[in-house]
Amino acid sequence: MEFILWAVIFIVFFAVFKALSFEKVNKVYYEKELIKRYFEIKNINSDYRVKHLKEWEVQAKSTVENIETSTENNVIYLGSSRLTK
Amino acid sequence: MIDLELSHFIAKFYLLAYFVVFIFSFVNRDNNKSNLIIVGLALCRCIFGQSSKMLFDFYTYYLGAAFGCLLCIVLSLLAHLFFKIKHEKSTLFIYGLYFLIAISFLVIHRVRVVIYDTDEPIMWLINIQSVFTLTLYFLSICVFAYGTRIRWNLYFGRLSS
Repeated sequence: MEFILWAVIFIVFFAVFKALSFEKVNKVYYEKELIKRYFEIKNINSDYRVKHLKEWEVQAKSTVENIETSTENNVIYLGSSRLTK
Repeated sequence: MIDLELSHFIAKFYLLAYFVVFIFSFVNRDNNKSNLIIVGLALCRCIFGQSSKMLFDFYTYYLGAAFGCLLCIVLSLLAHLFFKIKHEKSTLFIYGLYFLIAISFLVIHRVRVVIYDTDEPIMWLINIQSVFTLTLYFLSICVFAYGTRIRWNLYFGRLSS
């Protein structure tokens, strides 16, 4: 009984780290964070946003929703652009 | 173990504290789904843990307590994965605190049941463990209430460059 609980501690510890590494690469979490970060940058200068980014914003949202993302060697490919981690 | 009246008072105090934190977490602007999940589970554990104290006997008491802590972590992990919610840093901090609490319960069990038959020889160790556990529970309440306001390093800080 006690051995089972010690084993459960190790298993859950391992499972937490697996879940975190899964979150790091999975599309669903990453795209949500991208959109959040986009809005953070957007809120820094609203004049810039109004002048230059209104049309781009609509296009960027649909792009982020529809593109294929992949990660290789710490470089994330979003469509044709790259982001280095 | 500590005096029964004192333990009942501490249990009521922590139950009330968890409930207040749960209510105020809806008022906190910086609150997130991750925090809500773990606060809700801590509240459930606080409520149902009281009945589990009466169900277990001498040999399984601390095992049950450790199991309650681990169940909290496991259910939170499953809820995060099922609803596709990202773990916040404050939630991971709570996981660490609950791991430490579970380990301390298992250490007491190992000494208490395997080496001795009663509590008297190791009363000092049990009291130290109680202080340790209650301190960590208090820290967890503080993290529930204020952990979401801490500005951890931006995960995506380099995207702006």
